[in-house]
Amino acid sequence: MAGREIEIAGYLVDPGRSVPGLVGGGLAAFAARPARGEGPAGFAVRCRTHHPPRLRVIDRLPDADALPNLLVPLGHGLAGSGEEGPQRWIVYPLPPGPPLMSPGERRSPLRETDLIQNVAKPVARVLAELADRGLTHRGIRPDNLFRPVAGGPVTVGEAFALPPGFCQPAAFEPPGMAMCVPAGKGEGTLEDDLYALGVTLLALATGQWPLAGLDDRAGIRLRLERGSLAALVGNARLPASVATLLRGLLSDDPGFRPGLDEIALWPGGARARPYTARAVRKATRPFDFAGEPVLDSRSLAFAMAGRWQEGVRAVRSPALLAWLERALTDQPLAERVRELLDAEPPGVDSDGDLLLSRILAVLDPQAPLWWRGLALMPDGLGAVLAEAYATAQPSAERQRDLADMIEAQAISRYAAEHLDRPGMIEHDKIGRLVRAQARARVLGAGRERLLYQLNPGLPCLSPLVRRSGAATLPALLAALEAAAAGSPPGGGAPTPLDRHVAAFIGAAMDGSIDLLLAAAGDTGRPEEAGLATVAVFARLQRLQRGAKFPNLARWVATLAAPAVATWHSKAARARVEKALPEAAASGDFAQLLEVLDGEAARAEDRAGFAEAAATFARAAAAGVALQAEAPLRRAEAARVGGLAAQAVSLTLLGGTVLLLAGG
Amino acid sequence: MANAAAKPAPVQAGRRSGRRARWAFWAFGLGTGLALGVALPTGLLLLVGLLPAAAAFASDSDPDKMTARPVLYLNLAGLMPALKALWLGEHDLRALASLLGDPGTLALAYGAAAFGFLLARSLPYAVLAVLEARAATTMKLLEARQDELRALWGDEVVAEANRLAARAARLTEAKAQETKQGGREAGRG
Repeated sequence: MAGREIEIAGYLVDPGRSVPGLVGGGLAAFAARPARGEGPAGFAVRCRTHHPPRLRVIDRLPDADALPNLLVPLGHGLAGSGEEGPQRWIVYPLPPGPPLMSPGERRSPLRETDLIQNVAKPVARVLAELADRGLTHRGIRPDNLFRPVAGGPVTVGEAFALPPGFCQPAAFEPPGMAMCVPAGKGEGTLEDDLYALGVTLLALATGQWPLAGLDDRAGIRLRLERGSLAALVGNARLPASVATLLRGLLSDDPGFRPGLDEIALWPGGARARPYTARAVRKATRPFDFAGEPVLDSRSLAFAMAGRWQEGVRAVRSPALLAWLERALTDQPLAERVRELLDAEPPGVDSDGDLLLSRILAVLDPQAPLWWRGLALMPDGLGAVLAEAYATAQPSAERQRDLADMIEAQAISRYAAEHLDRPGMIEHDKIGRLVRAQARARVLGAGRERLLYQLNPGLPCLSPLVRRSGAATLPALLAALEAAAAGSPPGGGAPTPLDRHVAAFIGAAMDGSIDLLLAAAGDTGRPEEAGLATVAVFARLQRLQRGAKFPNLARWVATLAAPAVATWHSKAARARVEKALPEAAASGDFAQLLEVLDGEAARAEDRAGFAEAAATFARAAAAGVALQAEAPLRRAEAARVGGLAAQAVSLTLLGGTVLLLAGG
Repeated sequence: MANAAAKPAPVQAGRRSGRRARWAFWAFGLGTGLALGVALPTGLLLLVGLLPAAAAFASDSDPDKMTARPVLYLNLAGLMPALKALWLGEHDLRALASLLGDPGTLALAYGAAAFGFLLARSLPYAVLAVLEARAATTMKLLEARQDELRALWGDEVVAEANRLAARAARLTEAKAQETKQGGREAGRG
């Protein structure tokens, strides 16, 4: 990127001056300074298109004054150009000092008082403020806590430039959350942040990164087998109040974790008796899964999820039920698994994917949704879809797996197994809506719509505008205008309103023009489709007072040409054909729509046509009646002719009499 | 019931026309008798001179005698000069014979009758020609209007007009069915 500064939200960002150590997840941060006036410097993070930032959360954050211990974003915006087009940037204030600990670093442990007063309590205050607004942080870890070298309370770093929890190492997530793909963790809960706080305090109390030397899978496995507290703390010596606090924070049962009020008053607010971690239920003999002995249900679920096809075979074998009943002696669990096996209809889901997914949710109630080796939380679907579709090299296999997962209603089935958890009823409903939306084939709906609906701020991925990075309606229109200026328009694309553009518009307009979009995609009625396309752009242009799009209008006008034939009167058609090029050249879609489908002119045309048809019908009927009256005319002619002959002859008789009388 | 009610009307009409014919017959008979009794030469002249009219009346099947009447009137007109000559001259059989012997007398009478016959036969055709010409003109105007409409609105106007006509025909059919149904139900009641 060139060294020229770019302006974002009132700050000038220097893309040539990177600032390391302030943001994770492979993102880059750059120095920023106020564009006008004096003020403290900051840094800007350049986000990635296929890992959408948490814009909805940013918009709901309080001002920095209300959260002095959090790096609250100063603003965000789209800027820049290049291969990927404009990118989303988020500007933050600079943290007060370096991070407490870098990943993998060894350092001297912090003292108990320092840990409680300057780490636990400030973090708890931040989490409390966020929780009051229904928000989570999902980035609590030692390298994301900053404070001056001299000490003092920490400031929590950023966690909004990537999907929630994206940067969290596996060790800092509860085992179930750690199983998820980084983009698929969803917003999570306060309890997830508390667990991360616990692991962070442990790392700072021991001076070493937890589970160092173990890969993520091994670390998760260890915690499943031994429990988080035992696996993470091990034989570490900890100060008494810290140990008590960690016993609660690292409990594998989220309900056992201490509340924010308790932490705020710690150690005074601690419960009278210390928390006890529930022991992991072990089987009397191991279950041999693909040569791997497993002694508990959660570990078994994790193992099967990692080797999907073997997992499908294992759940269908009678050995599993036998092990659950006799070795693990968990009758309710065995019963539930049997119900799921019996409920599998023959022929449906012959691959066993949905069956295994449901059984895994039962074997490990804290596990995420598993599907063919992919793990995600239900509300992480949006970010996972964005990753699958918006990445520079989309994976067709991932897209297909996600499509199959949605079609199988795996989300609803997962939510149905966890209805006791908050938000799961909503996820059940969302799972059904997601499938209905994915199945819809009309323009503006379908998988594309799902993508944009679940990822507001995601740029439009249509090949027409992808390079422009258009993430708003005004940007989309400008990008389409530029695409339409090419020769041929849009590089030969049949329409500017392709599935991605239509879905993007539909999501941005919140469903208010779905009917118009569907009509625009009706290939069976090109005249109506053309008119609907013009109407769509007219609606969008109305939101952009004054902006004209002559190239786009010309392109759309050629698509709408069949609509001329919908006028009944030949004079009207000629008038429309004549006025069309001028209206298109004006770039005003409202004018174009008025020419093609003006209300008053249409009404007049329709009325005129109806009158003409009625007149034509009357004339035809009169003609038929005339032909039918021929016998009547003959009879009348005979009568009138006879009478006339009588009259003439009587007149002649009278005349003869008078003549003879006179003569 | 409806058929029974319908029968009396033509029967009554037939009775009326039969009565009229009998009156006409008796009137003619009386008139002829009077004419022959009171004025034999005139009667004989009328008898011979009005033979075409008599033939026309006998052969005219029209109840209103549309062909016979003009024949009668002109036959009479053609006989007038002979009647005048008879009444103004000697009103006797010798004068009658003299008149009848003149070929011009019967030629005029019979010729006038023939003219009356031609008139009765040709005038209806003339009237028909006028009526047909008017109908043809109206038809041309209707067709011209349709062509004008087609030129303004295209062939769709024909299709729409056909659709309207079909709908009107269906409505008429439905109304007729309803009326028939109503009539049957009234009959049963």
